[in-house]
Amino acid sequence: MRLALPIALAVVTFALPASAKNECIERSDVVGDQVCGRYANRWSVERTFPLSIGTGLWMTHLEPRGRTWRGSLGKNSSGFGVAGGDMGIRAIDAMGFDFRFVGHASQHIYLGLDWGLAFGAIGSTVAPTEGYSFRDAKTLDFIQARTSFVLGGRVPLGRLSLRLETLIGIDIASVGVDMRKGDNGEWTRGSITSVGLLLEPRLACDLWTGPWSTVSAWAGTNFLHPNDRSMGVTFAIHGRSFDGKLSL
Amino acid sequence: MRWLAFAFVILPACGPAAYSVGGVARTGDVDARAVRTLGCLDVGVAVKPAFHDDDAALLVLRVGNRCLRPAAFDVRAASIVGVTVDGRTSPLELVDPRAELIPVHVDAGAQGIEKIRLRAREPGELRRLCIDLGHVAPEVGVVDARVCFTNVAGWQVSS
Repeated sequence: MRLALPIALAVVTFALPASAKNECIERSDVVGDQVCGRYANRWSVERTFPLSIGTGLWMTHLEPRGRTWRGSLGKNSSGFGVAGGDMGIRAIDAMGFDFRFVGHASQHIYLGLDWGLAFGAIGSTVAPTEGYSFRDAKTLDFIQARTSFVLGGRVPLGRLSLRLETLIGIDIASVGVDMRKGDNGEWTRGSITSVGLLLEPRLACDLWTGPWSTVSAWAGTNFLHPNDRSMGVTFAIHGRSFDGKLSL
Repeated sequence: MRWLAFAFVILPACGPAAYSVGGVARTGDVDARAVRTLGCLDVGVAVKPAFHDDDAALLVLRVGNRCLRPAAFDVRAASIVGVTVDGRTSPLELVDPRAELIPVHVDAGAQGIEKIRLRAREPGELRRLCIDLGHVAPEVGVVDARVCFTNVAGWQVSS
């Protein structure tokens, strides 16, 4: 089933940070005798890492028109192309969660990775195409998964920060439908999937709720599909207070 | 509404809290009388029995930054002098076998605790020990920040 691809992608990418756990057993808390730590670890600028991790909720608005979709009927199906404009669905809205891991190259520039997974219901039937007919599965039958690199700039304005960033990556959208070949075939669970590039500029505003925690609101649009929009709220924990600088 | 409350109140509160005024003394690691305020920094010290046979004592150092910007701190600038039971004065040095004690900037709102071995340049049991913290905060300049301890059934803060 094609839905398995984005799910597997999301599971693998979400699991990666957890597998990187470092095992070290400390034997002393005295400077010079410590095995794992060093003097000023965790409380000095010099010995903290300018990293941040965040997770949150996001909403996505996707229009099938302009995308290349590929239908698949079961495992042995060779698949068939579906033009987005022929699907009979004007737009799909979905909601999900995202996760990001960011490193700050300076007090104003950051790089990172971002993963997002959203679910929704298309709520309508895909129009017949390529000799296939479809019916709505009456479930959460839409899933969108994203994996992308992030490059951004940050302007610290006291307790608020403004950020402008670009996500570059892969965007997978998949619609699960019941489909059959012709008018008399047997209904079979299948999917229509679009795999494309993501190039999404985003504008974000952070509110520092503490020296190491932020709540952010963001919005962006896919440059390659300008009608696709996304927005969300992210909660992040930062390794260095105020990412090194509270104000300009 | 419950989800919104969770999202905007509970989750942000999960982050670590910033250091607040008086936090160094409240931890219990150091006596409130052994805390000095040096600009943004609260620096507290305590003296414990030696950790290794050839050490004179163990210095417990707790530092907290009350400001929303990093503050410079150099523990090596602390001047430590001991007085032996027979009245001789003996300078003490910080034991730093891995050259870790570099000048640092205490992160905004951060606090930390360190335990550092002290070694006397001359042998002899110490009766009194004074730590001058006047130079450890370079941004503040030199201030009067001496803390003394007397070893009578354990190290106690003395005048």
